Amino acid sequence: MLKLIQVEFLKLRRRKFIWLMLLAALFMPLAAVFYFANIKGTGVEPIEFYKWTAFSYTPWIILPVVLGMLCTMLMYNENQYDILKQLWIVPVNKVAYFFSKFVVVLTYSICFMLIIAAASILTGVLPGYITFDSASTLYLLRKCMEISLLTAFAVLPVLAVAAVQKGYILPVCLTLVYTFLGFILLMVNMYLHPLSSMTAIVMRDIPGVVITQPLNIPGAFLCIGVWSVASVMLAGAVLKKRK
Amino acid sequence: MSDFVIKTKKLTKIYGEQTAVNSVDIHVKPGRIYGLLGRNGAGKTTIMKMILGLTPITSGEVDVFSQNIKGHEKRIYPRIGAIIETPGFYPNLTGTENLEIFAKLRGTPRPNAVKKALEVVGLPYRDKKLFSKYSLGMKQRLGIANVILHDPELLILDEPTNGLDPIGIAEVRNFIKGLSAERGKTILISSHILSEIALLADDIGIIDHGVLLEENSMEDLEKKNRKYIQLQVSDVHKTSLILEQQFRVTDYAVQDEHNLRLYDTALDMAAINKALVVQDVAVISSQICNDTLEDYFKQITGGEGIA
Repeated sequence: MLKLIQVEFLKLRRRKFIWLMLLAALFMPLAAVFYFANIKGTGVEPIEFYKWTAFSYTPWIILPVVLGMLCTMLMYNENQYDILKQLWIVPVNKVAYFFSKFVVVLTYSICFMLIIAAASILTGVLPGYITFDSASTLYLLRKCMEISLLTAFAVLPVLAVAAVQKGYILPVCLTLVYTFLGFILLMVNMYLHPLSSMTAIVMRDIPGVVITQPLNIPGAFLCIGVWSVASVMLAGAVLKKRK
Repeated sequence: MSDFVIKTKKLTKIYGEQTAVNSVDIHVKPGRIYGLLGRNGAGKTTIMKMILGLTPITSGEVDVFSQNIKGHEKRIYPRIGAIIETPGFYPNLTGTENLEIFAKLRGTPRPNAVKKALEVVGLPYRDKKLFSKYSLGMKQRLGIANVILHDPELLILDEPTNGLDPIGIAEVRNFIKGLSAERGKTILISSHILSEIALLADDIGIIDHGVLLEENSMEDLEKKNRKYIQLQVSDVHKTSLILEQQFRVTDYAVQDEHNLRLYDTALDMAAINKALVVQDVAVISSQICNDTLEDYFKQITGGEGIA
């Protein structure tokens, strides 16, 4: 299993687009610079600033879309270039293969959120919008880790679809529909969609965030868990069948 | 232990209503090169995929190393090296990096295994050229390097000379022959190029429209296709009598009322012709012929699609 994970990272060499996608992590911190410069000004609460840079559109839209694209790219190459046959006769266990892809997605998600955390601190402290303090920084890091871990699990259905599809169009479309559906369902029922469940868990202790529905953390974990298990089962079954 | 490294029994593959492979029995002996010859779409790749467990079998059985591959993949796959269709590699990596990935996945114990495999196929080690920039010939060579990377006992090669230039084809041929002769590898190779199979294989299976038309050793096939004298005469019965009584010829075959074949090409044809004419048998033609393997394959397959 460890060998498979190591190999997954070796495969990412020279895949510039994958690394370029990390730049999307800078979008909200940079947007916050303009917003706070023109509207809010300096001397805001760090958490208030981080809500803008790291806890709002990033977990709702940016990170899921980026991870969805990553899932598609990880799977598409091996399908397109007929590499899977070579892997199966090594032999490579199909569930382990799927799991190793997930580890890449999880690691990427953590890196993405760490970049956001670093960018949030820099864009907040350097222009003087916030003052640096260890408590808010630790809080930011803890929330960023939460978001990264939960979002990686929440995009498992996209990874499963990318694994069972030979093309990239369906997984890319699914990523967009899945992400926006998660965003829309936030206002309807947070415990149907893994992304909205993830938001419920993340938002539970962010000061100033009003959640209109009753908070049900076990329900949110259950939703993510059920979708994750179903995704692994789907990917495992189809990969085993497809050869 | 079984006498065969690969043995199939009534192997059949049906896609929808089309039968791609129909009740095929092939027998690959240890240490020999088995050539699967057939035109494009004859079912060669499907047979190989079924042997490797890469496509489900509709009916029939496959034994590899005397075991059914299904359920024994972990034990059997490390003993096999295979190229099926075009060798697939990561386009963003170099040849060396690609092989390092497969070496790592296989847990190849030999040090320098990647370097040695690349040397064998004539590709540079630690070259910076990406796989996406490789020519078809280089891709095939890298595919072969990947096949031999873990020193397997059985090689399954689906059209391995595809895309190679004539020199490359000769090199790969010699290399495959060497693997069998010097290192005792068992090789199952497919091709639609008759001359390739004729030059390489010890045993041959001819497949057409999913049916195995013939399975034989190359030696036996060559015997079937020896030189002969084709004699066209007015009366084949009278000619037979003359040949047997006057010239003591027994190694001949009557084909029809006017044609017969004499397999002893050292016969004195002038004397035979003269004797036949004297005894009122008209000799229409008399010529030395040599049925090649190609003629034979054309005859049994209908003649198209084999280069």
